[in-house]
Amino acid sequence: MKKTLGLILLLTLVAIPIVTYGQAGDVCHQAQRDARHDVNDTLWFTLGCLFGVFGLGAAYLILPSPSAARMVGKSSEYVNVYIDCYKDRARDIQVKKSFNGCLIWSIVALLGGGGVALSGCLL
Amino acid sequence: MIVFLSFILFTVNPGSQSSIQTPALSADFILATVTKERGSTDKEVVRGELYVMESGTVIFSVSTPVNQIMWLKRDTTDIYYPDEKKLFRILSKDSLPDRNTNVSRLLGFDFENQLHKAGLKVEQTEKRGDTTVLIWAFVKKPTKINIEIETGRIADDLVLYRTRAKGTKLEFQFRDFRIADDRRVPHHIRSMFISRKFSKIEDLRLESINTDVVLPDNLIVTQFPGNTEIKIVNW
Repeated sequence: MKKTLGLILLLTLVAIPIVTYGQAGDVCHQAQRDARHDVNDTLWFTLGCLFGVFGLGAAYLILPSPSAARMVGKSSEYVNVYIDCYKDRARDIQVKKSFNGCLIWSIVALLGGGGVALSGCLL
Repeated sequence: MIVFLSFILFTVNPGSQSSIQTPALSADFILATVTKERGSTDKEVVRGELYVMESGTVIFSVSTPVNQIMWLKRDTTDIYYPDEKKLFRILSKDSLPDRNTNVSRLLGFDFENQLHKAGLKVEQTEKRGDTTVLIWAFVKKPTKINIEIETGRIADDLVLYRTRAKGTKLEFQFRDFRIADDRRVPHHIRSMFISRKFSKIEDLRLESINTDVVLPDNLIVTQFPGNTEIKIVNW
């Protein structure tokens, strides 16, 4: 019973939007859009805000993974382009958000800390 | 493919020490997708077989439009193209099944129970034809969340799950209930995602759901051919 319902739910969530495009540029556009949806903006901004340059480093190294459902039935060329574009876009978003948080942290530190050293993200 | 892999782990006996090669169930599937964006419409049909293993691994064996085999495990997704001898291996520290099932943690084994656990309650009940619709609301409404959630049943069959928020709508319809594994199982699932500039409708049809199967030899892969082109993606 549980197995069956698990299958139902699994397949239900397989039915997440999967878009097919004929051109690599369209595939990249789709991957970038999915990355935009998947990356948790608030998380990375907060990490940058709380951990300054360390949050920034983490944003560069730790990436979200794309939904496997998006690649079911797709050609190897599609998957190849999708993975690369998703990874690059996700990293860019994370780093940017984390940098913004790092910047905020630095400004707060400067205004409140008097002699506190500048954060690495301002160097 | 996000929260649903967590379901697989919860619903397919994740603590079992059964062989990874023992399918909990299998099914033939047809997934038809219609996407509309920027004035253009794309249609796609994917056909194949699906296996859910006792270990929680999920295997898609796709026959159309490409020959593709996908193994989804806890921390690895392998996408293999036998005709081209190409393998993509996606490794993730962020557990893939959890990551791959983020559609909603509300989509659980028991929808209504999951909604209760998420802090919602039934605010209103309506009868729409033969469907009993429950309208849900947060017990303590979060200030920044404005979302409408409805579930619908015909007798004991869950036929509808719908959420609306900020100009977007996500809806699942469950149809064509038949007996499988001693339970009534929907053999047709439709999902619709609609926003201002983008819409996607997917119809997933299942056939031959079977809980007593043997995994085909070509899906029991311990090593790939020596000339396989491998791309490892470390997330």
